[in-house]
Amino acid sequence: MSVTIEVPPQQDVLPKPEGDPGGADALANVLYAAAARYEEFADSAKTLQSLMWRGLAYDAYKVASGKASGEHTRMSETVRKVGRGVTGFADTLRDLTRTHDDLCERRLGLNTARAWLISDINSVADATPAIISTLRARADDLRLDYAAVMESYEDLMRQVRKNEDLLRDIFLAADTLAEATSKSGGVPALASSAMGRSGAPGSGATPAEVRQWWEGLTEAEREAVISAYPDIIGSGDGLPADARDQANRIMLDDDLARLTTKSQDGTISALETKILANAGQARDALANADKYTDPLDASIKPGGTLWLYDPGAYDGDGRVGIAVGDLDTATDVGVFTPGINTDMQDTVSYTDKMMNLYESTRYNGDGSSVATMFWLGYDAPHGPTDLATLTEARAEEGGRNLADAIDGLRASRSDDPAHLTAIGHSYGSTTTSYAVEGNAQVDDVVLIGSPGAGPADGAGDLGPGAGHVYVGRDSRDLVAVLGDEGWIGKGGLGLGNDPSSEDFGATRFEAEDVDRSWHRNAGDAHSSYLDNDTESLYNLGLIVDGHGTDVHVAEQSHDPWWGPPEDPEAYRDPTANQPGRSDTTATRR
Amino acid sequence: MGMMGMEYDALVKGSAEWRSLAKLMTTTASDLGSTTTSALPPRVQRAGKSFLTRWDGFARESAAIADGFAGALTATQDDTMRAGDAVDRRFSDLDGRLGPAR
Repeated sequence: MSVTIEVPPQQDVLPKPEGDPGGADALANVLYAAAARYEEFADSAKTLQSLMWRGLAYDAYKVASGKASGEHTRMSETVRKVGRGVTGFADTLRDLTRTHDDLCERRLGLNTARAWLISDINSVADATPAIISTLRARADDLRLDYAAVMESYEDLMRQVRKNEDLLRDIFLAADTLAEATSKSGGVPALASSAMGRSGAPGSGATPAEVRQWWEGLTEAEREAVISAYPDIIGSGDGLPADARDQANRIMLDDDLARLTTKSQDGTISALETKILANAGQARDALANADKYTDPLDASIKPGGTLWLYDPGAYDGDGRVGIAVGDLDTATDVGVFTPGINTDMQDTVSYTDKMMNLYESTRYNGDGSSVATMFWLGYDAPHGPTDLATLTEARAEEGGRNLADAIDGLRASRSDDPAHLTAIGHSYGSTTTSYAVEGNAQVDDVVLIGSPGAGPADGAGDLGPGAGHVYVGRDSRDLVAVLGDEGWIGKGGLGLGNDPSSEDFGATRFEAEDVDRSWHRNAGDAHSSYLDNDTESLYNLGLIVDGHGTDVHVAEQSHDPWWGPPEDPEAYRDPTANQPGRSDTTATRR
Repeated sequence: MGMMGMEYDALVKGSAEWRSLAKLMTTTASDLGSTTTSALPPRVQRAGKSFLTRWDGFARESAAIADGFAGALTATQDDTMRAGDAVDRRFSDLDGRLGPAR
């Protein structure tokens, strides 16, 4: 008796999406360079209106050169938008090509499984009903798996065509003089109509409304608005971090290429020079974050996210947010706010510290996924000599910005909330205190090296309450002893109450450094809280992981009525790299 | 007629800057015109090529505009020089003396 087992046919090669992302990037760079030249033309035409000349001829010259300046400004903006569209196309094509590679691997795996099945069928000498049933089941599974691959491939190719359609529409929206000199030049109708809908970012909508707006867009509309309005999408509170990241990376590529051209042409301004340097920091920090590997599984690359990018803000100090890990899906999210003297030129250094925090959290954690973000969304005072350092005004304003950022993060995943920890260092701890005062949007609050908790009288005023407020202070940290403590206080030296004092009521954790000096200082003692293999970073990792109750508790400082404040931690021997207490780094093989 | 006046050197400098802008836009036009769209998928190449061709033309037009401004300023300088020379001659030919000395 012959038995038939229908084995599905071998799947043919899946054609690759057409186009070369690297070549498209090169094309975008040509367009950014052109945008720089149009900008130079417009700026020069404006400057050249003042020629120390008077009379009718000059009046006519002024009208003509003014018109040229205006038109060339708009042309610069249009060709820049097209450049951004090409960058967006290249980024999406890169992602789709990776998906295609994955599908090809799956297909090859199925073809191998098919060959094994045929070999097993041919080797059967005595086909019992059980064997036949097993082989038929394998053939059925194979058929379903092949169908799933084909379905995924067809879906992929639909996205490929939409990506191509979008780029074609962008070119077509900017290829006449009227379009080139129009405000809407280079913006495809798909994008402008989506941005015109209620709830769009930049329209005054709340983060929750912005998220709802995003949920209502098609995949093609999302790609279109990211390419056409990256400045708005990149800072849209309530939007998924991935969308913001895509948009901000487009802005970053634009700045790097356009301003490099201006630098080479010798027409770059002082502010633009700062912006270019800030963009370089963001690029390098992202490159480091993108190649960072997880401490528990070297095959995992958590990746970087450019969540906020505004390199020209605050006269070129810049605003930036870079995360290590996936802010859209991570179970545990830590948002770190730095203090005085921090500007965008510190982005690489602080992103490295976010990798330290990520590593500590994962290495000593419960296995949950993690994302840690360096957030510089406020104008941090420039240093001890900056008068702004002496007041809480910047912290108060920064606190409002941070509260908005936290609202945005929350709204972007309201159906899948992360365990969220807000960490503030130095002046940033005061900023963080303002952001979380009476604000239960965060799960835990950590103040390190704090000169004072701003508006908070005690831990109960911050976040979800005293049980979730933690403090790290190195006993030698000069900045962290400025806050008011005891019945005399410190005459307004600091920025509110000292959160490490027993009167404040927070949980103080061990944060002494083995390299601590014999005297108090504002150097190493104040800036080593995120260093690897320190007590501070160990405990920070536990808190970010959602296990704040496991921190190594340190005795709080106190201020006896008969003398100056006392810090019991000053007399304890610190540890470094001690498993279960200050070991925060994995040994990678 | 309103007031008239000019700083000659400023005009010379302005003219040179317009010429430099013209050169910049000519380079831009060449860059746009010589850029290939071969990295784009075939379905998009035509639109991409057409866009680049148009913008090559726009940039050349911008170069011509800048050249026009440079030329007009140079002509103004020349006219001013010529007018100045003529006026200079007219005034140096004047003789304000009386009597035999005239």
